[in-house]
Amino acid sequence: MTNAITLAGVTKTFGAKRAVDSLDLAIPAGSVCGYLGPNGAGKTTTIRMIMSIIYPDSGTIEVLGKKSAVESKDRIGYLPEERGVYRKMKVGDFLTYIARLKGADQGGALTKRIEDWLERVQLAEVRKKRCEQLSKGMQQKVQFVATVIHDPELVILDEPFSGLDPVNARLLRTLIGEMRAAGKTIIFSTHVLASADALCDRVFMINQGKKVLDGPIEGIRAKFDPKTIIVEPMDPGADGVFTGALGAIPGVHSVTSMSDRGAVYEAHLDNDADAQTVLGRIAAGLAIRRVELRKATLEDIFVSLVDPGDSEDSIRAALKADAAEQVGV
Amino acid sequence: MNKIILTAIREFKATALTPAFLFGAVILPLVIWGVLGAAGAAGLFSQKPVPTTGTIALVDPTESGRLTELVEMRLSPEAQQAKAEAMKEEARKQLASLGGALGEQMGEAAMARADAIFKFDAADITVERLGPGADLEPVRDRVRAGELLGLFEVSPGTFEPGGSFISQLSESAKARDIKLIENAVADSAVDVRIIDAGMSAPFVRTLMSRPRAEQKTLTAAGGETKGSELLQRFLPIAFLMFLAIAIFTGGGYLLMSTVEEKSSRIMEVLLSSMSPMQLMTGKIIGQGFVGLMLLLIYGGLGVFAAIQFAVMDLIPLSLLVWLVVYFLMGYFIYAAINAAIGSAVNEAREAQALQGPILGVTILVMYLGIFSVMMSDNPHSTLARALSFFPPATPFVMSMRVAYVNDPMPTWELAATTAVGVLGMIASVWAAAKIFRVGVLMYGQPPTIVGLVKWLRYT
Repeated sequence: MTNAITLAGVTKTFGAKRAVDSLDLAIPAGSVCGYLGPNGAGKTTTIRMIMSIIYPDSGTIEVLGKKSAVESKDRIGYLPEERGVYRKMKVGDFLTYIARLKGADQGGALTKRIEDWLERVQLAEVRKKRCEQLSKGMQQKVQFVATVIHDPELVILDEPFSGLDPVNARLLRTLIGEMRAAGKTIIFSTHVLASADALCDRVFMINQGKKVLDGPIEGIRAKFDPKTIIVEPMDPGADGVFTGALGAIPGVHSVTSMSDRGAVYEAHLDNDADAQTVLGRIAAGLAIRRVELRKATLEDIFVSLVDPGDSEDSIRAALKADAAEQVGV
Repeated sequence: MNKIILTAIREFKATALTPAFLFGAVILPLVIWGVLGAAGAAGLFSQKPVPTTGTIALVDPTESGRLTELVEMRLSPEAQQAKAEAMKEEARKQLASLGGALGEQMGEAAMARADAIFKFDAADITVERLGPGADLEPVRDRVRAGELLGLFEVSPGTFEPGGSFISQLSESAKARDIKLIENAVADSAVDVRIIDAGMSAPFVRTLMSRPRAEQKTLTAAGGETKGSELLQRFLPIAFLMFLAIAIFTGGGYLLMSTVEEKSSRIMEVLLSSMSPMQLMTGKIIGQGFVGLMLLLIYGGLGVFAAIQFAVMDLIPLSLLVWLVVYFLMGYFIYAAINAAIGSAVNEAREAQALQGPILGVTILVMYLGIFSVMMSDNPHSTLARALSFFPPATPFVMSMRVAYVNDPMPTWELAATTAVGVLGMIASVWAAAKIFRVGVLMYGQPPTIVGLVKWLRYT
């Protein structure tokens, strides 16, 4: 499988801050990749370097087989985190302008494609309206259409779900799914980990400019297998009785109560225990309503990899506290 | 290249094809002229003043009362009418001297307008003669009471060269009447002098009428054209005005559109399709066409007027070519500065703060240019020549200097200043491109002028 994007030893520094540090990355063509990381981790900087909007201090970037995105910009659709529209322009004119900047020919075919896309995002009636007449959510859908109107091979979406209501977020997920089915390569950065969980073939994560995770999502899930079984007893009875019975099953290391969900327990397994075997023992030996092998979610993985102190908010708070200490406040 | 053209077309359409622009640049001037024309046609400018009726007291030191007779004759309705006609005829000749069909038409039109506006109703003024030894205090009381329009004290000294007379007026006297009466007294005093010298006053006045100069310019091609001093004075300042309007309008729109793209956060979308240099170039070219369009509109009107006044043959074609050259030079220098500022700020208010020092330098340069060329009426003054080699001033100063068609500058100077201006233009665009590339993705605290200079060093 060829790579749509390859980064090798990419580093970018702003003043004293190293935003991206020796990043190696390979995005296979045709895959849907989630790009995760806490605020300020270097995601947008990486994407801007991939798009040749800014340039790395060192390292190389190949995009769609070219030495940089400059040579393949027309084959890429990019939805930046900081996105906008020409407020006074009509929606149809705006989309035509952006499409033509991306190399699309003006004419009936482009007009038809614009109409089709607007219909797909449920905005068929806005083509002749000025962008400033649209709601924020509608403008975001227009921005998405502007990203894909020229039918790119590679689509890069920086926080595409930001600001979307649940209905439009679902619509966007559907559209991404359709593009995946059409063989496009899609990269998106997001904090909506449920969306990444549902859509991605692969994920990669950076923290403080360094890559901390990279690979197919199933492999990552296996690697971060929580080795936990969720059990709901038929009759909760006395709390200690069920917990004792569950803890006595071979392969179960410890039991904790999920007190926020009523009488539901987590059985944490021994490292060498086979989850399927233990699952069978629980089902055979205890009166239970439900038993489930817990799957690792991206949220679990994210939280386990990112120290709370690494988030941008935490860093800012720490810096502020330092400054306050220095002035004796 | 295609992306630059697309960007230029969008910039031009977004600016020039808007109702606000069309209204401000095209429709409003037409409306103003239309309103003035309609007001004239409706006779709003033809309100007649109410003619004055009154008496003046004149201290006449001549034994025969000759001065009083002469003043009465000058204040007669017939004399007033004849003087007004003579003034109108003089105005007609002045306008006709501009030349061409339009000049003739304007002369005739001015006559018609003068007839309509000053449909003459002569003042009815009676003169009350006082002898040299008359008691004037009671007369002054009558002036104070408004019974008399004024008291005019003429003494024997008035008839000496450099003499004067005292004019004491009622508070109700109108400026128009005062002028009429004082002129009548003064002219009559001169007539008394001439008559006392044993000559005929009308004869001497005929001898004193001044001949008019009929200017002609001998062209290098061997022909001759009708000269126009007015044109020589008007052309340099007209060139400067055309240039300033076109340069600063286009540059101003460029600044605002760049700020808008930043504030509406569309910049990164655009940069994903083209390089910052392509974006900036497209924007500069697009707004350049806006400025050029204004130059063509206003310059075209100027050319039309020159043709109508039949003075177009006094304006060499090369002058119009230079006007376009200096427009391009000035526009690129100031557009580059505006693009750089627009890219560095987040909103229009911040742009104004950064523009302040640059605007100050620009105004200083333009004033110095006008002072060095127009005020001294010397396109080759030392200051003018020095400013011509300072790129921000080159287009403005040189556009005035080349407009002195009767006093051309050496070819080497023309070539050297153009070369310096073009180098300045290239340097401005280069520096602006570096700042633009850094600035377009910078949000937050806007930089100072020093900060902008630091950005030049970023790779």
